[in-house]
Amino acid sequence: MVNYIHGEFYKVLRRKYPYICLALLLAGAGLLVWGWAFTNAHGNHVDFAAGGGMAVSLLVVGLYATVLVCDMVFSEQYKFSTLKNEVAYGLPRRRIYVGKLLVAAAVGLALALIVLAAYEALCYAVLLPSPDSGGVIGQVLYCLAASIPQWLAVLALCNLLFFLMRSSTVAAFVVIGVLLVPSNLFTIMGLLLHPAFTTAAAWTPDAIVINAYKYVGDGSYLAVSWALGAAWVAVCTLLGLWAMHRKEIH
Amino acid sequence: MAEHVLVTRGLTKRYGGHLAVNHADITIEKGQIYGLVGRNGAGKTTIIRMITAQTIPTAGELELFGAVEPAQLGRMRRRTGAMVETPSFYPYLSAAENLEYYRIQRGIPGRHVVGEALATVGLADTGKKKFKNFSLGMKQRLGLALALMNHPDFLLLDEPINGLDPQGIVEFRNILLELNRQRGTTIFISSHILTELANLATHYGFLENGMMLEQISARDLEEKCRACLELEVDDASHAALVLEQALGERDYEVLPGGIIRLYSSLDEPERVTRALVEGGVAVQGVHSRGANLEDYFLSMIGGVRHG
Repeated sequence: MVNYIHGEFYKVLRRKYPYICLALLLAGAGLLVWGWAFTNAHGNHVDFAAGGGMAVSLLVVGLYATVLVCDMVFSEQYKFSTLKNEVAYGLPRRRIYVGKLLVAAAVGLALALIVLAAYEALCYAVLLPSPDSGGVIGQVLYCLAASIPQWLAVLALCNLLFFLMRSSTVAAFVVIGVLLVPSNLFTIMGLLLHPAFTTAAAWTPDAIVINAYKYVGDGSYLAVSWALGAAWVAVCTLLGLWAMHRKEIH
Repeated sequence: MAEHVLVTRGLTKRYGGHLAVNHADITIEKGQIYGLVGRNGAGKTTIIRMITAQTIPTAGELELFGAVEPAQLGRMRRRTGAMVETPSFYPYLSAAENLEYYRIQRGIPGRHVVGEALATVGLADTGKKKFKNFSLGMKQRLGLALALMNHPDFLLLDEPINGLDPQGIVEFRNILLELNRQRGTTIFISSHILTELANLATHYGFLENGMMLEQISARDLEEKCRACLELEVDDASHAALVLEQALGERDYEVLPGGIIRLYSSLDEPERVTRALVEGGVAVQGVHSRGANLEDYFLSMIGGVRHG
């Protein structure tokens, strides 16, 4: 497994893809902070607490960015027919499946942490100081801790769909659909049919990430987020391993 | 006793209602160059795909270096090198980067093996050129380099000379012959270019409609393809009767289209013709021939052999 993971990192780090993604995300973060600074120069008062604290509402982007990260690592294996080179050499299919998931998780987390750290550092350096900087950082870290298991859950879903579907584009659209449809559908059904659907909507990945700031310091919310995330990862991975077991590799 | 590298017993692959491979029994011994001969769609690639775990057999058993259990088979596949269908690599990486990626992934020690593999197939000077910019011939060469990188004991090649120019074909053949003679590498090669296979193979397997018709050594094939009199007649069945009854001939072959190959009385074409004509057979032509691999294969898939 170590060799497999090492190989995947070798490949990913030689693509332009992760560097372009990182540059775009950093540019977006820089633009946002520049916007705060610009308004401050024209009489507004955006301090570190307001600007830096905005990060918690940006964490939901991570759910959708998992599609890019998965694509980055999976590297269109079906389009280029490269999976056969791995299988033909006798590499176990479970190693291929889990190895790509682990590398995607590592790459995704690294990119997220770099962008988040850069954003907070920029806010701290450019925006007006605030008395409770430590509290803001604590809030962001709490929301990050609640978001990571949901990111991993969606990443596991991406990995499953990228392995199952011959088209990465279709797989990406299905992931976005799975993210958007159930939460909105449950919300509407909660209003129209039964309150239980509202509860279900609150525990979908995007709702957990979006609502995390309301529960800062609440250990039970974190525990539920991690438990649900772990369940998603386990179910998706078991499904993927089962499906890959006898899949035709072209 | 010779060491078996590959043995398949009743290997079968069904896709829905289509039987792609039908109870194929193949035995390849160490040091052989085994040519799998068959038309397009005969099941050659499906057999190689089953050996390389890309597709799971519907039935039958696969034995590789004596291993039959799935986990053991996986380990034994690391002693193989394979080039199945078109060579596939990451288009945004160079030849060396693609091989280095697989070297790391496979845990093959020593970065020098990448350079050695590229030099063996004549791609040492491709530098930073990306795979997407390679010609078809260069892609084939890189496919072979990947298959050779781990110094395999058993090389599986599916239509490997597709896309190579004449010089490339000669170089490719020489590489394979050198590997076989110097390192003792066993080679399993499928092709529909029979003249090329005839330059390489020590053994043949003939496949038709997923069924293995015959396995034969090149030496035995040569014996079977010996010189003959080829007779074109209006009624082959009647002609065969006349040959047996009037001339006592037993060693002949009936091919489609009123062709009979007679393997005896080679220096007496007049006597044979006269006997046929007197027996009421219209003889349209008499030729002296020696069969080759192509003729033999065609006779296998369409003719009936006697004697």
